[in-house]
Amino acid sequence: MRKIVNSTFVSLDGVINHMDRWHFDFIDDELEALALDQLRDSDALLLGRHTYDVYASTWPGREGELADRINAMAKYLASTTVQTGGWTNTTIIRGDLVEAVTELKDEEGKNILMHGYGPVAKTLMRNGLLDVLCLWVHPVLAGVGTTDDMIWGEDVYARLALEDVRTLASGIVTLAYRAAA
Amino acid sequence: MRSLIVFSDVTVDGFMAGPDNDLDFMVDDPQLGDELTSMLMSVADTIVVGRKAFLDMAGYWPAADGDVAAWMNATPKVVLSTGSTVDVDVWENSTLAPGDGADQVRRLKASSGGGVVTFGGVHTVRSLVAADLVDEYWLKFNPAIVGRGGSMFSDVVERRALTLQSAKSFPSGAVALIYSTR
Repeated sequence: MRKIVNSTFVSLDGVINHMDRWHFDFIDDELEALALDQLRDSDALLLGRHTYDVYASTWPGREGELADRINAMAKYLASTTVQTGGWTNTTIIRGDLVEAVTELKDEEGKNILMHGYGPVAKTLMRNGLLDVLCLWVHPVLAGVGTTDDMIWGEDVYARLALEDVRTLASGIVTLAYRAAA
Repeated sequence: MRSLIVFSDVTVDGFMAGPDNDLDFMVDDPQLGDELTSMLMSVADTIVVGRKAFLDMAGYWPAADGDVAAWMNATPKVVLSTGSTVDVDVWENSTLAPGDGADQVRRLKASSGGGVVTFGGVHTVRSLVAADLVDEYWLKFNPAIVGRGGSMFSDVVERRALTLQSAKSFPSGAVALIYSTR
C-alpha cells in the first residue's frame, strides 16, 4: 500500500498561499536537499488545481535535479473542471477523488507526494487517506489572505502522531506527523 | 522595556482554542510542562490576563498544589477588561486594568520589572499580537488538527519576521517552539 505524503509550506499564522509574500526568502540549499529527499522517496505527485497551475507555469523552465525529477515524474491533477493538464506526464482525476486516490494507493509503487494543503488535501484528510503530513513551519507571520488561503478547513479534525522534527538553519521547523491510522 | 511573552497551547493548524472554544486537542506532557514553566518562572514576574480567562484561572489555581500553583498565586496578575468590571479579589495579587488593553500593556512594558506573560484568552492575546506588543511566543504545538477555532494571529495584516529561538519535541508528540519578534 502506497502512502500519501503531504508536504506543505506554512507560515506561523497558518497561511499556505501567497508564497511570494513570505516563502521565497527561505529557499536555500538545505530546504532544496530535504525537498529532493522527499521526491526521491516518491514516484508520483498529487496536486490540486491551484498548486498544479503554479507548478506547471514554473517548473518546466527550470534546471537541476529537483526540477528534472518534478518535471519527469507522474503527476495526478485532481480537478473536476480542468480538461487538459499541459505538463509532462499529467493524468487528470475527474471523477470521485476518494475512490481514485484509494485505487492509486492500492497500486504498487513508492510514496505519492502531495504539495499544498488546499481543498484536495483537506478532502483526503477528512476521509483518512492522508498518511503523512509534513509541515514546513516558517518563522514569519504572513499577515495576508482570507480563510481560503489558510491551512484551516471545516470539519478537518485529526489526532496526529509526531514522527520527525527538524530545525533548519533558516529557522524553518519541519514537523512530520503520521495522520491516518 | 519589559518583554511580553505569549505562553500558549496551539494545534498544528495554529489554533489556541478549538471549534467550541475548547481545549480538547491538548495532550498532557509533564516533561514539556515542567521545562517550559520552570523557564517561565525564572524570567517572568507579572501575568497579564483577559477578564474571562482570569475568572477561569481564579477558579483553579488558588486551590491547586505545587510549585507552579504557588508561583501563579504569588505572582502579580494584571486583569484587562475594557467594559465589564471584575471582582479581582477572588484571586490573590490581582489588580484590575480597565480600558484599552493594549494601552495598559504598553504602560506595563514601559515600567520597571521582569518579563510579563500572558496565557489568554484568545481575544486578549489576539489584540496584543495585533498591536505588535509581543516579544516572544512560547508555543506548545499539540499533535492534532481541529480545522477551525480561535487563532491569536487573525488580526495581523502585515508581514512580520520572527526569529526561531528553539524547537524541541517531547514524548507525547508535542513540540515546544519558541520565537522572538525582534
